[in-house]
Amino acid sequence: MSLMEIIAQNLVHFHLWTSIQTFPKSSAKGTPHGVVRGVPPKKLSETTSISSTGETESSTTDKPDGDTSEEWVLPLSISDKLTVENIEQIFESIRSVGSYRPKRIIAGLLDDDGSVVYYFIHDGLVKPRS
Amino acid sequence: MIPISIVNGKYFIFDIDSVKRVRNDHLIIGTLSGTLSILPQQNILLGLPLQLTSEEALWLTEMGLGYLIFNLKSSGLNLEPKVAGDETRLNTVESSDSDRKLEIYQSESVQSELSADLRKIKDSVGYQTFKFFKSFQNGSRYAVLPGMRFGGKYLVYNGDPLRYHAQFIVQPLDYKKDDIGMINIVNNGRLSTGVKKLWVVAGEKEDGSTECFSVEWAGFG
Amino acid sequence: MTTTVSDRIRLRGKKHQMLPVDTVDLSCFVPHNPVSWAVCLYKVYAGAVPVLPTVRFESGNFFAADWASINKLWRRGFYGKGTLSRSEPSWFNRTKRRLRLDEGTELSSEEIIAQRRHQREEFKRQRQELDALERRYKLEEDSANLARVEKLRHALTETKGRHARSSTPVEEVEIRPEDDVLIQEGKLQNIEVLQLSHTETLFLKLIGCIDIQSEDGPVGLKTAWMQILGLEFTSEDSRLLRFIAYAHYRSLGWCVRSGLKFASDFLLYQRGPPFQHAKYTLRVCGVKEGSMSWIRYSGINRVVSGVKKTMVLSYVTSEWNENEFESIREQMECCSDDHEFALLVADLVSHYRVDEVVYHRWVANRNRE
Repeated sequence: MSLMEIIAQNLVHFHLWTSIQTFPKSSAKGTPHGVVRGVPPKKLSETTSISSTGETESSTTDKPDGDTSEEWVLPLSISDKLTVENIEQIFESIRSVGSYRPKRIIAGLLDDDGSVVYYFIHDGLVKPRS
Repeated sequence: MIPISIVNGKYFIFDIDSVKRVRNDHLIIGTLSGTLSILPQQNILLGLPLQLTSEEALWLTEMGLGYLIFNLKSSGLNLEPKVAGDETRLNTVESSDSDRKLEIYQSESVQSELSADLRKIKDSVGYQTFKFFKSFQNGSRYAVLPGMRFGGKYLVYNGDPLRYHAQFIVQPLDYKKDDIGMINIVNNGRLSTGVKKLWVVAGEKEDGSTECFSVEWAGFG
Repeated sequence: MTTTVSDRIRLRGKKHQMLPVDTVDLSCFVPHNPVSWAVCLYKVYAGAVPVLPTVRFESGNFFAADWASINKLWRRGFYGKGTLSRSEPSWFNRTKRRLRLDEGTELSSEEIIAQRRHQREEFKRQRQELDALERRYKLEEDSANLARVEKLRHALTETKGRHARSSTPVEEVEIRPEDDVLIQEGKLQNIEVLQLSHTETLFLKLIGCIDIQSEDGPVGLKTAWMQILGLEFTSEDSRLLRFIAYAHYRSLGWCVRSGLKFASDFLLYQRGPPFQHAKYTLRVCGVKEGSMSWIRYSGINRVVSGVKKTMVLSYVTSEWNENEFESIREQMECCSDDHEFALLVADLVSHYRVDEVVYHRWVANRNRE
C-alpha cells in the first residue's frame, strides 16, 4: 500500500469518513504523496479567517455548492520535509485538481508504527476557537 | 519622536510619557526592567526604564516614531562620533557629569550607521514577520512579544496583552529554505491547540509579501 | 482481541511477561517427589517446540496479521499497534458492534473516549445555554429567574461526574457502502493488522523472538537491519541511537512505545498501555548532533508537562575510535550468518552508554520552597 492508500484506509475505516477520492502525486503536482478528498462522519469545526483588510469570513465560502463538509487531507511521512513555499504549492495543486482553493487542508502524518495524527493547516490567519 | 537609549547594546526608554505612548498608540510593550527604589528587594514589580527588543527599537525608528540616543561610553559600540559636516544634525546634551556627554543623532544616515546591530536584524527573516504583524490590518492592532514560553519566536496579541490573550504563536521561516519539520507540526499544533492559540508559520515571498499558514490539531486522530 | 476490564484484571494477576516468548511453568517441581519430575519432564517436552509470532514484511512495513501472533505480541510486552486503532487492535470488534453483527462485547477504549467527548460537548452546550440565560436575566434584573438558573447550573455540574460513567445506547446502524465490501457471506473480514515500528522489529528480531516473512521467503536479521538502518550508518546516526535507546529501556523492563503524539521519540510505560498512562516521555539525544534550540525544548516540555508526564532527555553516548567503529561496521557488511550478525550488533551496542537528564520548567517565583 502506498502512503496515500494507508491514509485513505485510516480515514475510511478508523475515522469512518465517506466519499473518499484519491489523487496521486502524478495528478496533484507538488504534493509529496498525493492528496485525499473525503467527508468526515461529523462536520469538523468551522473557523473564521482573518483577512488583511480586517474583515472576517467563514471558511467555507469558497467551496462549490453541495457538500460543505468536504475536507482535503495531505498524506505525509514523518521524514518528509516541507517549506512554507511547499505548502503554498500544495494549496495551488489542490486548486488544480479540485477546482477551488480550500481554506484549509488536513496534514495526515504517518509514523512507522502505522499511527496517523491529523493537523489542520489553514490558509493564512484564522481566529483561534474560544 | 521618542528617544531610545542604547546601553550596552540594549534598547531602553527612560521616560514615562514615552512608555505610555508606545504602549497605547503603537502596542509596543517591551519589558519594564528597573527595580523600584521603594521596594528594592523584590523583582516581581519592576519600573522604568522600559527595555525594548531589537525588533521593537528598529520598528520604532523605521516608522519615524523614535530615534536612537547614544551614550558613547556605555553603548558598547566602537564608533567615532561623526561630527557635523553637511546635513547631519548633531545635538549635544550636557549631562550632569561633564565627562559623560550624550550625543544624540537624529539624521537618518547617522542613525542607521550607529545601529549596526539593528541593521543586521533588519534583513532577518524574523523582522519581516514582526513588521508584517505590526502592519497587518493597517497597523497597530497587534502586539508582538517574544514567544519562547510557547515554543515560537513571537506571541501575537490582538490588542494589549493585559487585556487580551495571545492569538498566535508565530514562527518566521525562510520561505524557500527552512523545513517546517513534521515533529514541529505535531508539537506546536498540539501545544497551541491546548492553550487556545494557533501556531503560525510565516515566510516572506520574493515579492516582499508575507505568506502565513496556521496550524492546529484537527480534533481527531 | 480487545483488552476489556475483566481482561485487565486477569493480565494484572499474571507475572511480568514483557517478551512474546513461551515459557514453561515448572513451579510444580518438588525434588523429593518423583511424580513431580515426570510432570515437569512432560511439561518441558510438550512446550519444547517454540512457536514464534510471525511478522510479515510488505512495502517497507512490518506487521502481524494472524490472531495468534497479534495476541502474543500484544499481550506479552505490548509490542506494535493496530493500524486502525489507537493502540491495541480493536477494529474488528468495534466494527462488528457498529454494524450490529455482534452483541454484548465490552466497550473498547476508542468507544469510551468517543462517549466522553460526546458528553463533554453536551455539557458545554448546556452550560452555554445557562450562561446566555443568566446574562439575559441579569440585564432584566429578574432575581427569581436568576436563582432558578443558579440552581440548574448546580444540578448540571453535579450530574457531570455521574454521567461520565453511565453508557449511552449505541446509535442507529448505518451501513456505508465502504463497509458493505468488508462483509462477505454475512461475515466481517478483518482488515486490521498489528504493525510493528522499525525499532520494535529490529529489537525483537535481534533477540530471536519473531519470524519475519516476506513474499520472497523468510527475512533474516541482516536483511531486516539493511531494510531499516542500512549499512551506511555512522556512529552518531539518529536512527541507530534511537534503536540503542529502545533496546536499553526494553532490557530494563520498561514498555517502550512511540511518542510521536507528544513530539518525543518514545513513551515509557511501567507495564503497558492498558494499565496506566506513560509517566515519561523520552527524547533521544546524540552528543555530537547539533542540539535543539531552547525554544523547541521549552515547547516540547510544555506539551509533555501539559499531559502530566515528565520529559526525559536520553543521551546515547559512545567513545569510539573511528577505526574500531569502521571495523565492526565492515564486519557487519561482510557477515552472512545471522547468529554472527546478532553478536556483531550486540558488540556495537555495548560501545554505547545511555544517561538521562530530566527536563523541568523552573519558575523562580513559584518554585521557592
